Parts: sequence; C-alpha cells; structure tokens
Amino acid sequence: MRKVLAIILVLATLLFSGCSMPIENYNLVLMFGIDKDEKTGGYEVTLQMPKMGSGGEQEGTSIGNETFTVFGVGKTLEQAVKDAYVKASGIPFLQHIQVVIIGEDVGKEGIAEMVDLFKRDPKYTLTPWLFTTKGRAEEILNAELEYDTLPSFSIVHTVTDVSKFNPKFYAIQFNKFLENIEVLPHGALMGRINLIKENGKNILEISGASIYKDGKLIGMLDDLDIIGYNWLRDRYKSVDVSFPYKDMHVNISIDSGRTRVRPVIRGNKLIYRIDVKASGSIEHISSYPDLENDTSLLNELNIVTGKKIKSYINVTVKKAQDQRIDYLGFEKVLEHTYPELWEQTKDDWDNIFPNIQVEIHTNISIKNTGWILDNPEIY
Amino acid sequence: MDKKNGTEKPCLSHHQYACLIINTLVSISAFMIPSPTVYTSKQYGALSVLIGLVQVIVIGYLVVKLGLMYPDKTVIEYSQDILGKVAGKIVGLIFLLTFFSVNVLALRQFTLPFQAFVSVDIPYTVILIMTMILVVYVLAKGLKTLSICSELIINFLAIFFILLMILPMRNLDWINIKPLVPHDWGMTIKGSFLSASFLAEDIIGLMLIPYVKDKKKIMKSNQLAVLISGLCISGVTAVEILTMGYERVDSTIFSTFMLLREAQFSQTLERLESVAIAMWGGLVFIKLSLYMFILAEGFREWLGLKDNKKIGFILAPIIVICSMIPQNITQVVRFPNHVWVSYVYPIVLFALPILLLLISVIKKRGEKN
Repeated sequence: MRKVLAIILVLATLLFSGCSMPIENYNLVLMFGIDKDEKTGGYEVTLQMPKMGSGGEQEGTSIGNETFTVFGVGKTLEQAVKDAYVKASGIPFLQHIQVVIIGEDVGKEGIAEMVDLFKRDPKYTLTPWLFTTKGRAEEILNAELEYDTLPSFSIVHTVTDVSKFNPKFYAIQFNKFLENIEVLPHGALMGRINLIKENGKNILEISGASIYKDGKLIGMLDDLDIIGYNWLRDRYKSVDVSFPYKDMHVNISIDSGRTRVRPVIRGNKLIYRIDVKASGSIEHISSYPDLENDTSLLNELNIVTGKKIKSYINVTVKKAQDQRIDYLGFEKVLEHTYPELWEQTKDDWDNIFPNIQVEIHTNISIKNTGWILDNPEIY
Repeated sequence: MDKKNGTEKPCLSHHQYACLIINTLVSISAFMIPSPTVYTSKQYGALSVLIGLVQVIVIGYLVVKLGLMYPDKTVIEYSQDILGKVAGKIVGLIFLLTFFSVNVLALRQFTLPFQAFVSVDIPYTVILIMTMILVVYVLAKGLKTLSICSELIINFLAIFFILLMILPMRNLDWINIKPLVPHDWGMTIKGSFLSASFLAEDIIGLMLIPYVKDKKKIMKSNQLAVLISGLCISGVTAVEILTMGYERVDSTIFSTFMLLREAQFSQTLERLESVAIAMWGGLVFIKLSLYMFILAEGFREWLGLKDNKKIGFILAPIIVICSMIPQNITQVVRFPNHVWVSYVYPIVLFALPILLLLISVIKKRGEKN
C-alpha cells in the first residue's frame, strides 16, 4: 500500500507541477515605455522584447541583439498593456523589465497610476531603472540603435558600471525611487534619457535627471547640475575632478570617500552641515610640477580640489532652493536625526527649505601621483 | 491513547519541542508582523518587536511554570482540577476556541501568497481543501512525525533567514532606522503589543508539555525558542525598514515577500520571492498540522473521548468552511491586528494563564497546610 502511495505521489509531482504555460509562449519584456495616448486621453504602452534565437544561435533558445516592439492603448495603463498582449507573438512577460521610460507628457500628468500598478500587481517587477525622456518614450523604444547588445542591457550597463566613472547623470531603480517619492511629500529625482542623432546615427544619451514632486514631472536637471547631487548623496566612486591650477590643468581621480549630511541646530537656527572626505590620485597634470620636492603643492591641490567639489554641491543646493523643492533629501535626514523638530517643521517644509543655511566642509587627500612622481619634460 | 500513531505521552525530545515552538511562532509572524508593527512604531519597529519579546518571555515563564505543575496533563484537563468541572470546562473551551481561530485564520492566510505570487488561476477553496487533506494525514501519523518534519524545516528556516539578511544588502540605507533611541516611547511600546500577541502563541506549550520526555529542560527549551523567534522577527523587521523605509513597510501586506521581490543578488538573481513562498509553504503547513493536533487532542480530552483522529476528520471540514468566511484580504488581515491584540492577547494569552497559575499555587499551598 505504501509503495503504491509513493508511486502515486511521485507521478503526481511529475504530472501536476511546473509552469502553467510553456516558457516558449512568453515574450520577455525588457523595456517598457509609457506615453499619453492623445486620441483617447489614456495611455500608450510600448513593449520592447528580444527576438528569440536571432543571434545566430539555436533558434528559440537564445537572445540576440535584435528586438521588436509592440504597443497597446487603453484608458488605464493595465488596459494598454493588455491591448499590447494581442499584438505580441507570445504573452509579454513583465517580471524582468529592465528599463521603464516615461514620456514627458505622462510625467507631467503624473505617474501615480503607474506606481500603483507596479506595486500592487506582482506580475510587474519593482527593480527596473526609471527614466523620463523629453518627448515620447515610443521614439526611444522604436529607434534603430547600433549596439552590439540589447538596448536595455546597454542602459543597465551604463547606469551600473559607467556611473562609477561619470557623475553627470543620475539613475535610480523603481524601488528606491518609491522610497524617495512616497516617504515624504518632497521631490525626488529620476533618470533622464534622450534619443539624439550623431553623425546620422541614433544614440541614447543618459544625462542629468528629471525632477518629480507629488508624482508629477516638474523639471529637469542638466548634466552639470547633477554632479553636485551625486557628491551630496555619496554617489561617486571613481569620478574625476578637473580644474585649472596656476598655468596647469589638473585632473584628480577620486578613488574613495564619504559625504555626510547632518542638520545642526545653532542657537535657534537649523543649519545643514555637509562634510565631504575623499581621497584620490593625480591622473593628469598639463605641466611639469616638481611633486617630489615641492611638498606644498599636493596640499594646495587638496584645497583646490575641495573647493571645486564645494562649488559643485553649492550649485546643486542653490538650484534646489531656488526651485523650492527638496529633492536633496534634507527633510529625510532631519526626520531621522531630530524627529521632534521634524514633527514641528514638516507641514511648512516647502517654505523652510529654501532658506536653510548650508555649510560645506571638504577634506580631500591626494595620496597618489600615479605611476610617476615627476614628469620629465618632453622637447 | 493510540500508541501506534506516535502520540503517546511523552514522545517529544526537548529539542523537538523547541523546534515546534519556533516553527509556530515564526511561520506567519516573520511574514505578517513587520507591516502592522511598523505602522504603529514607525522606524522603531524592530525595537518594538524586542520589547514584545520581553513580554512573551515573561508569558513563556508563566506558561511553563503552570504546565510543570501538572506535567502529565494538558490545560484542558488540569483547568478542571484547578477551577472545578464547570468553570474548568469553560476555560478549556476558551483555549480551544482560541486555537481554533488561529487554525482557521492561518489556513486562510496560507492561501494568500500562493494566489498573489504563484498562480491566480487556482481557486483558494482548492488550496484550502488540499491543504486540509494533508493536515489530516499528518494528524493520523501523529505528533512524533510532525516534530521530525518540524526539525527538518527549521534547518531550511535557518538558511532562509541568512538569505533574508544577505540578499537585500545592496539596498540598505542606514538612515532609515535612525534614531536608534525612540523619541516617542509610547508608540514603540504600543507597537510591541502587536508583536507580543503573535509571539505569545507559545501558550501552545500548555498543550504540548505532557508530550515532552525531559521535563527539566522544558523551561530552557521554551525560552530559547521564544528568544530565537523574537530575534529573527526583529531582525527581519530591521532589514525591511533599512531596505524599504518604514513608510513602504507599513503599507505592504506581506512586506517580507516584497523585500525578496525587490532583492537583487549581483545583476542576474532577482525576483526571489519564490524562496519565501517555499519557506512559507513548509512553515505554515507544520503550524496548521500542529494546531490540528492540539485541537483534535484538546476536544478529545474536553469531550472525554478515546480517539482524536475521528475528531480531526470532523474538525477539518469545519475549519475549511470557517476559513472561507472572510470576504476579502482586508478582513483576513484586519482580524488578527484588531481582535487579536485587543482581546485575545490580554485575556486568553496573558490573563488566563496567570489566573490559572495563581489559583493552582494557592490551592497547592492550601493542600500542604
């Protein structure tokens, strides 16, 4: 009897388990674009999916670098997605979306519906990288790009790997964006992506950031504005700081560091103290300084590098205060440092934030001069 | 007592007893405590769980003390010795109804993640019935078999908790949990009652102590099990706050599933909630089976019958039908958060064991004098 039962259980496990639908019936959605549908006033959704087996590999099992897109329209976002279902060769599989691109029109109208849908419905993923584009998202998803890999993977590579070296853009994943936008009624930043033409070729340009407040797109930050933000939020690893010094041009590579933002109460006044402590190495000097014997030179370069970083942060803080939107996360720092003071100020934060005094202190230490100490002059 | 099915008194080692307690306390709590606790305590949620843990350690001490005064009997039997036949029967029935409500709710809650994350096509009634058939099968196999299953599951639970701590590492933001010392102790303590009410389920010890072989080690095993469970849940709550921020944790029903839904390990391993589903399935199934045993055995003693299996066969469809009463997920979640904390925790889980202990101590002193 036990043997019979065991055989039945094993057979049941084999016969009744597994996917409810074969994997070949799905199309893996890697990029998800959202635009406003002007005809209906609803949404137009564009889904970009890889062509299976298009990379010269065994058909149906591998992903090449070719993609196809389908679109759907609907009064609600979910209706638009379901509309796109009928245009795809399989069922769009939304659990591994890598990149979501939001069109400017939808951004301005508000992304609350999208946020709600992605959070509520487990068929969506919560970790795609979010971008706003100036114009329509579908243009990016339908553009012919000359990448050796899928565009979505190329974008993910840029935001995860290249961001370490280039502070001129900001990128955030959906779950972390939620944390910023839902936590407090202040602003939050999202990535910015645009389709540009260079030498007749389509190129995706990731630069600057987009600003959201109350779930609506209210502005953009340029690439130079975002450098200070990345310094402020500790988002730098191998970035360069370059500046003219005397008759030279200096390029310092920052290897490590930490930025600390803390509110300080001085008298009755709330002041934000920003401390940047970083170390790096000289990557390039456009002259022939005597670093071996001129001991004061490194100290001077430390100070000038600090001043440059300070100016980056100052620009960003001033911009945010001028816009009267706290996307710098100052309110969150206050909430978690002085919760009682935050309780008193939270309702009037939009008026308090623009007048906050900010003190920036930098402590830069150039520890390395590269593989050479002095550069022999080239004649 | 039927000795063939491995439920003779005593049949559990103190280690197996501890495993059953950990399994019961952690199974649903690890997935459902963080959200309502954080709703009340905000960033101090993890601290609230620790304060709740202190309360439960006190309750655990009282429960084991009471149980050891009548080491060969369950609370259903000795409540009649302590309070007299009628009052004892009423107290016994109150305990049984509490265990019944836990089983009903746990069964319904068991289906929720399967429907949400695995397959929305399977009607929840099918999951309810299939689960209950398995639970009754385990009841037929006896407590010993159940405790061995629990020992096995606990090993996976340990791995699961390590994963739960490691996988969200890259999303941690330490500012989310600051300040570490609460500015409002009132809300921190208020939040502790919720976690304590879940953890105070260790009163099932009142039904299990007679089945443990080495009575001297019960106190240590019980308190250690409560401590491990509380620390695990506090740790999970802390990681959730660190990762998602308290505002997102309190708005999510199954925040632990959400934690793994967002977790990414390197750039390839993602959508890891399936790991939590597997763990949930194993843990809650053992909990349901243990409560079914407690109910069947409790009603057998309360009614003065011989066989608990027949009672299990009668109870199973009743539990399934009752678990279909909540109309929607809000009702399933709201009941434990309101009724459980406000009424069941202070009266049944806290006051009744103290009352029984006090009366029995007074009675025994009177007998000595």
